[in-house]
Amino acid sequence: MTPPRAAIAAMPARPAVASAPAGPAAASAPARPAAASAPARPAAGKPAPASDDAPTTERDPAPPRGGRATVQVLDDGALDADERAALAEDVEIDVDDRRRIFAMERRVAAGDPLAMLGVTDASDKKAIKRAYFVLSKEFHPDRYYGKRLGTFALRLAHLFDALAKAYATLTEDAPRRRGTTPSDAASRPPSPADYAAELFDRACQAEVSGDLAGALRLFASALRVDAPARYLRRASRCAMAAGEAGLALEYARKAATLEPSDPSTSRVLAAAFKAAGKLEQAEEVLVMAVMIPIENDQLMHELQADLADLRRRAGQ
Amino acid sequence: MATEKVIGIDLGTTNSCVAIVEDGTPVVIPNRGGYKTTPSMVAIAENGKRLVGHIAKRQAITNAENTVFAAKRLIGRKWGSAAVRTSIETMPFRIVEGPHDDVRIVLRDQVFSIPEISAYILQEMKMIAEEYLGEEVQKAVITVPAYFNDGQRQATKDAGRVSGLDVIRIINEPTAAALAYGFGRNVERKVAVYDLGGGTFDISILEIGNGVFEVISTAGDTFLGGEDFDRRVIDWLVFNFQRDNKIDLRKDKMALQRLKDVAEKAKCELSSVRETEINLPFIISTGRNEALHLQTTLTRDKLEELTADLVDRTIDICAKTLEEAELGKGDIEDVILVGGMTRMPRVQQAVAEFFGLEPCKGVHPDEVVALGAAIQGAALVDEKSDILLLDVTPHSLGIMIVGGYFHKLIEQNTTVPTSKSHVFTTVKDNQTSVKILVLQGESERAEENELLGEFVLTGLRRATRGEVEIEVTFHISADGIVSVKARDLETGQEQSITVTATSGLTEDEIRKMIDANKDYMVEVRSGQEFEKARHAAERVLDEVEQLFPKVSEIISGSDFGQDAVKKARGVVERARAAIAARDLPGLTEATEALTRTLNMFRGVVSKTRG
Ligand SMILES: Nc1ncnc2c1ncn2[C@@H]1O[C@H](COP(=O)(O)OP(=O)(O)O)[C@@H](O)[C@H]1O
Ligand SMILES: [Mg+2]
Repeated sequence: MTPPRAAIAAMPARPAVASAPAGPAAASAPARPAAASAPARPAAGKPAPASDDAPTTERDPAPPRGGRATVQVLDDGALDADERAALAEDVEIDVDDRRRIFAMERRVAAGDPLAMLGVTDASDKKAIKRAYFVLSKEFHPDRYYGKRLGTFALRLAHLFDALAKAYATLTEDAPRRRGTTPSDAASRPPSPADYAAELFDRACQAEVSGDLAGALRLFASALRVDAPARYLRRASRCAMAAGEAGLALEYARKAATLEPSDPSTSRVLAAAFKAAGKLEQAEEVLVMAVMIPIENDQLMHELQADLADLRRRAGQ
Repeated sequence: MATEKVIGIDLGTTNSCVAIVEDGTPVVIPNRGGYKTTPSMVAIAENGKRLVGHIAKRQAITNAENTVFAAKRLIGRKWGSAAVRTSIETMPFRIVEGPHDDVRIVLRDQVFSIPEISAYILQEMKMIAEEYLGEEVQKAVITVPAYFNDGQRQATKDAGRVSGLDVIRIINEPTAAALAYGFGRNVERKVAVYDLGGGTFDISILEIGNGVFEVISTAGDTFLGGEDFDRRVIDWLVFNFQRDNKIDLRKDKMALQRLKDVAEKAKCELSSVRETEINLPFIISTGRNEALHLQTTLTRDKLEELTADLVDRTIDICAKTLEEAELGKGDIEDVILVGGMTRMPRVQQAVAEFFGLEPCKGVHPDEVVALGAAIQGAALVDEKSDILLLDVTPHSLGIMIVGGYFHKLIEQNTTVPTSKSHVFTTVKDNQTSVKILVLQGESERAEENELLGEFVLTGLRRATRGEVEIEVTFHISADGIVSVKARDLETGQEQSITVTATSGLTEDEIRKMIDANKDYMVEVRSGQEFEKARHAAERVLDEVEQLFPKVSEIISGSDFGQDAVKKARGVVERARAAIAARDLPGLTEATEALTRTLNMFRGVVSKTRG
């Protein structure tokens, strides 16, 4: 049989809360269990590389083995009033476990599914699943079945719910991860825009080499990080080539929102409408685009050719 | 302190089985006769004595009217349901309507509820365990088919309570099977559990790793099992007999019971031999005091032919389940066979063909579910246990919204515990109360789903429709208990229920309720988003209209220009129509086109100026 939990907790592989990548927000965020429904994506700074060097209060209180320094813990100032009250509560969960629950709640409150599970953007599906399973074992209410839990019953339910949702969010994007192997992690550039640019380049290469599915995955990854109209146009073209009309239209519409009077964008948008079988809209886009005065004659000529072509086809 | 003993019970349609974890090892507990499974049968003998299990089965032929089998098919069902209709036609015992639109069984003038019948079986299993352990047992984990709805689960729990057991958890049979399969070995893989029992078929996909068992997807058919295979054989026998003798054997209850017995026996035999004799002497007597015999040979090929579509149906469900889980057959690394029917070679072959791999051997299809239940029981009470079962909700949960639609809040196959909130609004001006109907099921139409409960939130502010916001929150605990809360976001006033039992309403009654309550319904709040979209659209619209005369004057000279004016007019109309119809996606699209129009207008105007 597998060793008891205490032993597992000591294993380095475990993405334990104590060594978790905790953003600066984690220390100050109020530990509200209600944050279980926190937004799935952090506001900015994605992909945030997991930093192990951020010393936080979560790391310090790791009590010496065997020692139950309850008073010390209460004194260290890291806990808010709510947590202090919960530590004093008469429940059948030992103090260390409660501290872990608080720390996990802060991670959840920060809202980043990657950080919640203690994985990185480069982690593959299996690694994410493992992390989720390990954390589930620690925070699923069943671990404390039949125990007196007080307010922790709700805390655990919310925590687990948040973990399950984070896991679902991360694994729903499975194709994105399949494209990135762990070895990419080391060479990953620090800035999101650079990272997106690199992904975009690789996507273009894949597209050129004929791997449309792979290219679309990489485009999706790149766009998730950074989405200028240029990327969106290219991705939309690629999606059309791959027969993904819906996706192509989605990208093209986004590009057109960013650059409504750009003739290249109009061409892509019209083509995407056409691919989706919406000929009227395609025509509408082109008709308006040719009215917008531009310097580039070549482009104007192409727009008019597109329109003529579309009308010829629609006429048939 | 020694941890308390928890038994695991597989309360089957046909057979039941009890197991326990002893010194870390799960074992099946044999009954007094040395059998590891006990027939799920209850009878009342002539002397009024209650008989359960093998004794009940042995006297079934001579006491068919007072012997209940397959009670599981009726548990938690409504009198008006199709399941009950078919049972009335096919069962030899008397089924009558209960006081709560439920089902009762009459045995020798005594009326029994279905949970009572199941309780007798559970009591028997409890006794088997107690005799073996030499001590009293209180707690149990009981398994149910994955597809059981809340009502059926609740009724099973009730049966446990009646039998004197504290049912600490109800788990799904296939999940239990996977637990037993993965117990004690360090596997990390996706497995499929194919369970074809006496009355139900279930297929589940699970992910196992690191002692965690996660159900990814589960589906099934509560009306597909060994009995259907038996019925095919019976039909075949009856048909041949009628053709040869012009007598319908179905008219004779005794004959029918004997037919059922031989059909099942033949079916089981054909799992190991290629053909078998069916022999029923004196099956019926003709009017002239002359007895007829039934004698025939059934081959395995014939059996497979008679039941081919049943096997196909199970495979279809497998394919659908994989699809829903967005998995390919190649993703499944092991297939676990559960249920007596999986002994049939054709079934094994079909499964192997479909998944492209040999089903895993070494797990006993009759025992694996009870073993898993025992493992889960031990895992719950044992603090040092390193096993965790992550179970999912088998059905979607939500509320009824205006128009009789079902709005899902929690999707099928969501891991529990979980919660989800959504904001709804009133549907009428000055509506001061809303009625929340809690439903379970997959249909878009409310009445086609199961009603779990209802409550009313009153004291809302008088306002125009769509203004008052009500937040509805669903919570499902780890043991599957559903609670629902509705909150008036303005006043903070709230109302909630914990769903404990089905109300026992028929589809028809739900439909009537929908009509009667249509003024108290809520609707999905798309209003706010729509209002935002409308403001944005109207801003652009205003500017477009302002520029319109000027632009058309400038460009109408050319063919291209006339086209553009026409298109622009079309876009404006589209936006107006979307606003009038409160069509949010339509308006979003129209606003994009409006923005493009405005850009073109601005371009035209600035060009002429400069
Ligand atoms: N050797 C066999 N070959 C074919 N079918 C069998 C065999 N043994 C049992 N069965 C069938 O399996 C069904 C019972 O399976 P079981 O798993 O006990 O059902 P349940 O879980 O519904 O109680 C019955 O229909 C029985 O006829
Ligand atoms: Mg079974």
